[in-house]
Amino acid sequence: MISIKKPRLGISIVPNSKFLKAALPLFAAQQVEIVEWSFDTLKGAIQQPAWLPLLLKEYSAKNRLLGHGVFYALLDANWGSRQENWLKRLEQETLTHNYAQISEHFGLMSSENAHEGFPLPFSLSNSALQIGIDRLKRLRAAARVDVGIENLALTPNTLAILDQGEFMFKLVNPVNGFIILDLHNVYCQSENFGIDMMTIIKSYPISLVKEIHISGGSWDNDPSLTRTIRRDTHDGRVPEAILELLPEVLAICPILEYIIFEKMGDSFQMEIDGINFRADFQKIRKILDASAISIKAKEEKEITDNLGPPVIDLELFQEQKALRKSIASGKYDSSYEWDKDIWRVATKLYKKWNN
Amino acid sequence: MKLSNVLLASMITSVLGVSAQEDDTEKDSLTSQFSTEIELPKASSTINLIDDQKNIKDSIKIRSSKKKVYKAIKTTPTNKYQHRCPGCGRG
Repeated sequence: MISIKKPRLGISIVPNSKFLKAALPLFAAQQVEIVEWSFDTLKGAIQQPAWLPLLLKEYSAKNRLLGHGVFYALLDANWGSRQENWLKRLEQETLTHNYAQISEHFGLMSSENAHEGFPLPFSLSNSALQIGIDRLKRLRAAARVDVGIENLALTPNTLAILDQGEFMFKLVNPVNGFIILDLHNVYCQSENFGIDMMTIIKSYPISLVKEIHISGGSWDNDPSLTRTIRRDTHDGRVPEAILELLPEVLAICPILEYIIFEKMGDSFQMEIDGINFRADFQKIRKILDASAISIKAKEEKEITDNLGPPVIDLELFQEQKALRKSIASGKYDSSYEWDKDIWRVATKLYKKWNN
Repeated sequence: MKLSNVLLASMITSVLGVSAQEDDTEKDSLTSQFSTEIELPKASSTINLIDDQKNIKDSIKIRSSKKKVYKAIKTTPTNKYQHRCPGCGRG
């Protein structure tokens, strides 16, 4: 087994000039060891900034490019042209660039349309698991590289937080996949439900965490909420609680290869935002340098992709449609056993991203 | 990871473009930092071209004018580009 000394630190790419202005000193100083690109977020044939394809090409050539999908809709119980087209686009993308791995988000997209929505949590049933495994197999077959999923920030209740890790393990295990542990998502869960961060982290399959995401977020103080809700908006500073916990997290993730720092492009409004972005990056760098970890490469297993027709579960699909509709209406439905404040936040997110 | 000069030049050009759009007069520390470290032949030749076209006698004055220099080397129409869907941060 190949031994890798330390995880590589990089950033999530946003094709936005303000983001680039903030990140350029890091690139110029050769500090960005890896980049992650959400290849499915470019809508149609919209003009790209000239630097983007050059950047992808150079990181790709050195096997330092990670793909991170947003719109595959991993747990959607229906199957149609949207997923087919998404996979075709992924195939093309992986022919164009050499991605070291491809990942997606855990959850159900709040919209049935491509390029809209946000990942919604929903009941972690066996039928949902079968859907997820089928979708991951197709993802792996199309990408022809290691595939994985990221934990979700928005969680309806305490039980769903602590069940998510086991469900994710069952999802990725059949494809020998990996987990992206998003520490700010864990921070959101911790703050919103009063559970210790490390308790949540240890509920995930730590042995499969190949990548960590770190970002900031914001507090939602909407008067309609009964308490302040932490949201994964990727626009603020990285909370100190995450940085303080990072050495301990690094020490328990044996196959951790990548750490990706994320910040939303629109959040770079002033010069200080770029300065803070670089300062947070350097804090992570310092912690990583100070850590005495030595990680191992993820073990390869022979996986046979026997793909039959896509799994479709119409009963589950109707349940998913009903959940979307109910959240869109804004009217709380107690039958879903969601925390009321989280439900209200989901309604707000629906209005923001389903347009 | 070390990037090629071509990529860095493309990035710097894009950054300078947005700087010019944001603020034509304020001194930009990032711009100053990189303008001394990385040679930008395309940008320089463009500036020279602008000098010739306008037949401005005092070239030193042109080069000290951030507004004119930045507009001359802006090649990426960033306002036409829309990245509608950020990768994450939807929670």
